[in-house]
Amino acid sequence: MNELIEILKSVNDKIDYENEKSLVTGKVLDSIDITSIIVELEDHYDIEITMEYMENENFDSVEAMLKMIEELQD
Amino acid sequence: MTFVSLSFVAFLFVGIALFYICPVKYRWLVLLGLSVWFYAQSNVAYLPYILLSTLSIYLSGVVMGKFWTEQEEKLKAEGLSKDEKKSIKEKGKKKRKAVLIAALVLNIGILCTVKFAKFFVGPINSLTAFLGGEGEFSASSIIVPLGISYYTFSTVGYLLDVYWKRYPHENNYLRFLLYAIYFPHILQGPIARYNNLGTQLKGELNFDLDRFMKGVQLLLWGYFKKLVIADRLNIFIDGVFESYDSNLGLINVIAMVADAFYIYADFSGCMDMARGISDIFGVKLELNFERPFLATSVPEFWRRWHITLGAWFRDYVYMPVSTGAKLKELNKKLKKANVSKSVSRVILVTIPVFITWILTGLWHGTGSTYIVWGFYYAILIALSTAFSDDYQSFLKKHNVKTDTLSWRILRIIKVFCIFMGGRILTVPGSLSKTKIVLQSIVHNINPWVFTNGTFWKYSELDSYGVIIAVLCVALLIGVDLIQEHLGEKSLRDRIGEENLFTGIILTVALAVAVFVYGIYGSGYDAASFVYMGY
Repeated sequence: MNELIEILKSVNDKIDYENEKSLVTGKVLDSIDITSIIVELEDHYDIEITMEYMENENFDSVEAMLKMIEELQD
Repeated sequence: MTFVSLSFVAFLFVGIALFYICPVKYRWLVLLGLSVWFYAQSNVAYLPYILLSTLSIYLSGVVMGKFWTEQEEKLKAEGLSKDEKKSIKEKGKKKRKAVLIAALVLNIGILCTVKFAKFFVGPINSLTAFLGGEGEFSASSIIVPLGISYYTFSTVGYLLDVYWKRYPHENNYLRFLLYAIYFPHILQGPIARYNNLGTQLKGELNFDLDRFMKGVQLLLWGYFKKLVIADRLNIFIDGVFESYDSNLGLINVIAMVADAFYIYADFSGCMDMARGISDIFGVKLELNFERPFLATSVPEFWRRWHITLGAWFRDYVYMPVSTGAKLKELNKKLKKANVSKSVSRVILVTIPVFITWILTGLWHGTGSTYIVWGFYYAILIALSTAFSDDYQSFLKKHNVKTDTLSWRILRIIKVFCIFMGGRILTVPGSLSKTKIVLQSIVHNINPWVFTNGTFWKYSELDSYGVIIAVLCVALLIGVDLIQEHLGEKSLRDRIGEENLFTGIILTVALAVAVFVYGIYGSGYDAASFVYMGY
């Protein structure tokens, strides 16, 4: 979890990732942030985030992103 | 047959009766029958196009669904290594992609052919003549099926969603056809999503008096917007813009303001009718307008205006481009090259925004004016998105109070002016005419147009018509302000909370207003809806 938060902070450090549960639906992250997050996650976790995972719910919170990463690593 | 014709009113009455007489289980078939009949009434020749499009996309969806199932079955096998799983997924993706591309080429190909064919008429005729052929190919002979842009976008959206496995494919072709041809939305949208409309059409379509009455109210409000406001303003706008007189000056500014309200009343009026009719049949269509003239920024305006088109381009063009392999690669390169975050942001925003807006421009029209229109919004949105943080910092640094009513009003006026700027690029019909209009505004500011008789010389509306138009636009703004204040709850819900008598009085008053003040009668054809030609 902390590792992921560090990655997210490298993209945008003004966000309270621990407590924010609607990062996309609440428009906290914009599309450029999401693109940068995808690049960082793909690089770091050696995964490919394809369009089928481009759902708001997969990026709305740190927990949701972790779940998606685990699924993609499987 | 459009929504504003007596034959449509008769069709609707018969349709409602047939629908509710029929057992719930078969009501979707009644809707299908009504929709096919409604569509064929415009021109039977349109039918083969929509049947070919829907059948090709339906079959592609079935095949892709099969490939997805196959892949999942293979992945269930025990003891597979990570590389083996990856290989199965890649093979599955390759097969699905082949089906997707074939279906997209066919359907987008048909759409582009009918929309852009007029540009190829000249070269084709020259080539035929050169080869010694006889007979001329004419642009007017090209059939442009009603609502082709709308049903193509709806069905292509479904196909991409199945490709990305956002929801399962449809197994029944007739159900899929109903989703595409559903008569309340075939003329001008809203561009439906299969997981919303398709699911509703599969459910039980029961009678609900409250929803039925609210549907009637929305339908009447749509008629009011179209027949009382839009068609009245259209008389004035046509009179002014058709003259292209360089001496018009301030009258052109008034016509531009009137035109903004005209297009809003016309298009959102049609959407209210579509949603109202659909409510009567127990099906909720998506909201396409959310008080756009109260937006305080250009991106917000486009989240409130033609919402379903904007959402379509966001989900199926902007997001795939901005998260696609090319941009990811570019993002990595920028990072490696230690390019500052703000510069990277500008580059990464600009590419998908320009692609999206040029395509949005081409969706609206095929002339050069629409490409310029696309660039106009692309530049504004790219600037607004790329520099939003810098702009906020600037305001903070200079202690600008942004949470005041006056600041909000200023921003609303700014967005309204930008919208008028976009309209003036396309409404006169060519960029040279746009230039005449703009030059007349800049060079000929004449504030006495109302008192020296110039205004009435160009206005085809008499003083009574102008007063009605101004009052109705004020009512339109008032309703939007009340709705904005109500938030999630619709004004119809709020009226429903009052006693039944109030609801009936307001509904009857609206119907009477449409009959008394609507622009129609012998010798007058209600103007077609502006967005119907797309």
